Amino acid sequence: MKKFGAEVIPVTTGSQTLVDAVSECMRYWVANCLTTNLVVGSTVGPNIFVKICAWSTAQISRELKVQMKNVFKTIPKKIKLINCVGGGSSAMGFWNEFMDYSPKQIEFIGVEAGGPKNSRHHAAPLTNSAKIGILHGAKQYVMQDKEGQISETESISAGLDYPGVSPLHCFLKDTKRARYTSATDEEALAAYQLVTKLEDISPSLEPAHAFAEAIKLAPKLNPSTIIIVNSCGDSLKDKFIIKKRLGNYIQ
Amino acid sequence: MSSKILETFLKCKKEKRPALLTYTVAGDSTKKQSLAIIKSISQHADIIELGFPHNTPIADGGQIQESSHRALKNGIKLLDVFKIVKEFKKNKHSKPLILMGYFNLILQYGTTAFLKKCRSVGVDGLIIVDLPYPENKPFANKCKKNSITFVQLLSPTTSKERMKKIIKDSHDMIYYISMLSTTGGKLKVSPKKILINYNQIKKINPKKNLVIGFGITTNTIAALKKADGLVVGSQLCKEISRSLQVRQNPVTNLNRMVFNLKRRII
Repeated sequence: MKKFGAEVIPVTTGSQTLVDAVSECMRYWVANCLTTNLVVGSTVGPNIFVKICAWSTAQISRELKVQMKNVFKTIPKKIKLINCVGGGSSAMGFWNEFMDYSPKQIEFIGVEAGGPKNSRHHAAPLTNSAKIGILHGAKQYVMQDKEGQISETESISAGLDYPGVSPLHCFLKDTKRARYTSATDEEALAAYQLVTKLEDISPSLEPAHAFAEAIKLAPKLNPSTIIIVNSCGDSLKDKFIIKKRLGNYIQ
Repeated sequence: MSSKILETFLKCKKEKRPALLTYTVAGDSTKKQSLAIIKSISQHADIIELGFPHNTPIADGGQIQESSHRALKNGIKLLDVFKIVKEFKKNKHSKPLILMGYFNLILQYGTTAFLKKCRSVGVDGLIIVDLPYPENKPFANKCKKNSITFVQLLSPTTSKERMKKIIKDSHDMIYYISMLSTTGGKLKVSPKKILINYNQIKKINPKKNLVIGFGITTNTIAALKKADGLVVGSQLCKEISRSLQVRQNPVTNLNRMVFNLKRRII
């Protein structure tokens, strides 16, 4: 972002993670709304911002449809679309065009951040059946304590480290159109290593969660089932975290 | 039916002055101290606003965030807030009290149970920052049935059409947010401009009690004294922080500060 001329302001309040960054953006916007527009890079926040984001990322699924037709000539009979879910923007974009297909033909699998192995600070409200609450102007499943204080979350992946999740995903869960699971930090790191070694891509730690699920799932599937994972980020941005955790960084 | 809030505004009008409303956070810096503070400042204030802290306070600036953080760190829970209110209300001559906070805590407690509890401890009104109109209609109606004033919020960006609807559905008090800001911002609009907006809102229904809040401090309060009521919050929270830092008693310091605020508007 900086490279393209954006001014990046670090968050100093609260737990200094995504939840606080969203709060700070809202605070800034409330004070400057006559000269500043708010856009949220995730499908969270009050109604309209969820829509602006989700309708924009929908382009991913339109491109995927074209690519599928190029590769398979037609839309295959059994597909699993696997995507990481933090706020849920890339998953919404990845799935959008396929919403009306039968779940039996095109299954949506969302992978949330399971945090460090055996940790309790998960950022996985859908997987862990969190209660419905209100965060950032939207009703959603959100990690919280009994009182309604928003829980601190923990994940190796900054983009998934959010206690809530898009109301759109809550709806997809409730209607059973999508299913949600989580991958741990360790599983994501292992998936990053494996994919980077075997493929020409090097996923960031967000899609590494989706790859982890694909790796878990693939051996159990019929060979005719197609798995498509949205590699929605490049590992370069996670260079320092990966180096810290694995000792070295190879793209 | 007449509410204590309504009676307070009538009394202030008779005295030809605005009502002074104060905001402090329950449990800041301890449960006991926050009770001592509201007891002490209600000597000068007309209506007490008491915040029930939330750890994701999107409408609040630095000072109130700090107060909320301090209170939560000391383990304040909703039940403690109710205890504080009950203790405060034990005195028959106590001032009206408005609880202020975010909706998720109420949702988790259960709206019916929450209002029942509010009523039993003597809460007079509620300000719920993140429950806007018209989504707040069912809850506001429930408040009314429990004889609790639900305070609607208006801001400089609220359209006239929307204002009319909100005012029509409002109870005994409406809160006008003076400027585009979180709490604790510096007053960046002239008091004159604020009063122009204020008078336009009053014209829609002159009978409604309209208070102004956000950016009001000892320095700015006098210029706004034509309003029905004025809210001071962040300056008080900041004074608690400062008192703690210099190891002074926040109770006496806040009493003095609220006394000074009052002096400027009578």
